[in-house]
Amino acid sequence: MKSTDATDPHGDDPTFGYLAFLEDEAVGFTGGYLIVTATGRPLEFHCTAPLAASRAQQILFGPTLRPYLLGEQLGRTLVRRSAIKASVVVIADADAAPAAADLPVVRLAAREPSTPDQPAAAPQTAIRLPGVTAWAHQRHAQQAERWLQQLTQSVDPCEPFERITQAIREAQRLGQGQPGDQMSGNRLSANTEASDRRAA
Amino acid sequence: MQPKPATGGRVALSFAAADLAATPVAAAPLPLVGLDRPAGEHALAPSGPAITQSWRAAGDEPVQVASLAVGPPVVRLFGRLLPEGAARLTASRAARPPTGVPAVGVPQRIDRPTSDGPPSDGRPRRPRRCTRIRPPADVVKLEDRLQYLLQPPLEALLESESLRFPFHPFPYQLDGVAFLFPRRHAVLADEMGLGKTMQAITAVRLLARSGQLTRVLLVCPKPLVSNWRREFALWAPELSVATVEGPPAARRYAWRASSAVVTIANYETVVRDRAVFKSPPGGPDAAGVTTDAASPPIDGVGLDGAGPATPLAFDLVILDESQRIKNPRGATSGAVRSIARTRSWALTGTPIENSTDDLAGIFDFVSPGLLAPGMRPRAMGAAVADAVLRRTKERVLTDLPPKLIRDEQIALSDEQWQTYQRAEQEGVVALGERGADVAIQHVFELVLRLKQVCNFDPATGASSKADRLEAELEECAASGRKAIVFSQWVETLERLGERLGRFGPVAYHGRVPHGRRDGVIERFRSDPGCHVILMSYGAGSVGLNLQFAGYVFLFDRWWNPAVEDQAINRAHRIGAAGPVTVTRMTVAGTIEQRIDEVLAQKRELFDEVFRADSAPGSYGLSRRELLSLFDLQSPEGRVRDAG
Repeated sequence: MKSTDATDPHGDDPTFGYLAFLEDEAVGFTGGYLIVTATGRPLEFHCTAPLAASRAQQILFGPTLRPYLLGEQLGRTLVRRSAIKASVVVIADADAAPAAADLPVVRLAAREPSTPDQPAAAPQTAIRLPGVTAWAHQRHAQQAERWLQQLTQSVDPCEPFERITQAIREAQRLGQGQPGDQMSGNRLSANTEASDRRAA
Repeated sequence: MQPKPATGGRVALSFAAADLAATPVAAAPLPLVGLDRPAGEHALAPSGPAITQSWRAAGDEPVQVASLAVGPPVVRLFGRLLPEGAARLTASRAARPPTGVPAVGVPQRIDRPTSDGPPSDGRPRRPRRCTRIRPPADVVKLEDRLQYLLQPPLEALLESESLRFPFHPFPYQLDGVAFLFPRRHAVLADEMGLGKTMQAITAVRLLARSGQLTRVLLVCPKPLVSNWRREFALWAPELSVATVEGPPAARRYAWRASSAVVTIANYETVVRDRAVFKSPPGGPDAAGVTTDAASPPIDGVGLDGAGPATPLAFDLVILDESQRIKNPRGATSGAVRSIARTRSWALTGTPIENSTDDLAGIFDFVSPGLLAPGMRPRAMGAAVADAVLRRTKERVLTDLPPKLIRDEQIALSDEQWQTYQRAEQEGVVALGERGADVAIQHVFELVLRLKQVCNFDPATGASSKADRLEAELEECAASGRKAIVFSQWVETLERLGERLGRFGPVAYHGRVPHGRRDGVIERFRSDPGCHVILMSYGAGSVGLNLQFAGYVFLFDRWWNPAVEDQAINRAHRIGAAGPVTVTRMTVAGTIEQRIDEVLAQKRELFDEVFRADSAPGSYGLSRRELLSLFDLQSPEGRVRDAG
């Protein structure tokens, strides 16, 4: 599946690619990617099977294991495999940042009214939204702020993460995405990044 | 993967990511790392072969090092483009703006405010609460379930620019909308006064906007037709509404030619015109249903009368006050069940009016085969758990003004008391004289006669109850408040009307023509000199919104607490401006007091049903209970059922 830019050239109709992960001690990390419109309506959804690192891999990657799994493996695969190219990738976990190399990335964090923003480390810029602070690369910050303001008028900008969590849990509850599971034809389309690479 | 130790030396194992696989590992001996990786583990998959190399440190024996290249993990993906995304993608590839084609199963994209900037007032406009549209249990495919789970919260849809509401819905009402929206089979069984009408209309509105509904049939009791029209105009002004009524030609046109999204018909009309639902159409009424000579049934032919027309079909059929179809063998049940439909919703405040079989009767329409008469209550509750939503005011309306219930014991005047005693003694003697021939019907007639004596002395017209009511209404009128008085009998209401003239009473009962009833309600609502409306339980206990009345008087008692509750809830409902005082008038020492005691027990039992999932066998008065009113505890077999 090749990504296509479904946004209009003027950026007035942006799409938001929400990237979220479930972490479970038993099965590992599961990634989910939901692309929504500026009104929060869902356009595309993908999730992964759980991915767990073995003990040896934990030793090998050490502190870089999490960004490697979330950002480079799960996240990047999800973003690349989507048919619609999001205007901006929205994450809540900083380790997922490597997922989108060629797209603006915004990290959201809920903010208590009385809590001051964390200082943004250059080249990151903080964007204040109602109840939420977003961090984006200063190169994208202005555009990202405009889009997020647009989104905020319809939905809580953090809310789509909850949808991803529920969808992943539902998939796992129904047996999709479980270890060793074989996808049935009448359900979600299945593919593997590795097999695609092999075919290539 | 456990490497085999090399012969004659220490073994070390190291790992490298794929791009590091060719780099020699350190020459120094490494600690042994044991790997336990059960078969089938979905971990980072080692894709490179194990390589064993020998390394020799100066002066040491050779050390064999096994290197294992760890390749990139296999990431398995599941997912899809959602319909709206596919439409958007197609539109984008065609270099056109999105078509806005409604997606099946998901609400249509809703116009959003054009402003790109922050809200002008600077306040966050995010909804505070997230009401999720969750998939019903009968949606089993993951793909379909995700269609619901991935939707934005209901609040986000409703707050959109083009879905405005006259009043902000209560959170529990949004829960109700989220319950109805995805369901093909649903019973909304909220207690009276919680806004079932608004919830149903809003769900219809959302479904219509998403392209899932183009034709809806709403069936309700005849007195409520105009109420539904008003509610649709209020809550969904963009939906076109047609009413099926009038002579056959008009009804045929309304059934066949109306392009309205919503068609409203009363139960009697549906029974009368049921030929339009059947295939093949036409033919005489085989069910022996009585028809109104002034309004004969229409046949199933087309508008031109030239031949059979296609049976009508609807995307959704809603039955209001669906307890009307509790008897599955009745003509009403048969008629509504014959309607071709995709979705079946029932609205009722009393899903169990007399016995659990009532619920089974409703489900014969909603989801045929799901319930059967005689099922154990617990099994029945489990079977319908996903299809029934019932909330009570106590549970959800913590801010509703209080309902104060007063049980007013009234003593009859000497004159009226003597009349009552005489009537009771003569009646009981008459029952005794019938011996084995006594039937329930005879007991019932006596009960009715005694209740009427409690209301008014038939000989003199004296009424201690009416005296008390007048005194109560003085206070009510003096404070500018309004009151509803309920009675079982039209004659009683008419007598009350004569006595209460100074309070500007209006009447709403079976003898008031339907065409005048809206005017009656309007006068009661708007005329400051009209303090009282006299209502019969039959005509006024359902569907009317009389929140502006602060007092309710039950001048006599109905047989069924559910009906009394419905009557009370005409005033005690959403929008009530203040406390509602309910006065249940009972004459001490008479049949009324005995009935009240039985009903109180029944009410407790009914509450137990909804708490404990067990229902009583009967909610009204049983034969045994009727007999016990007069201490006629006859041996079984003596009293036969009047049937």
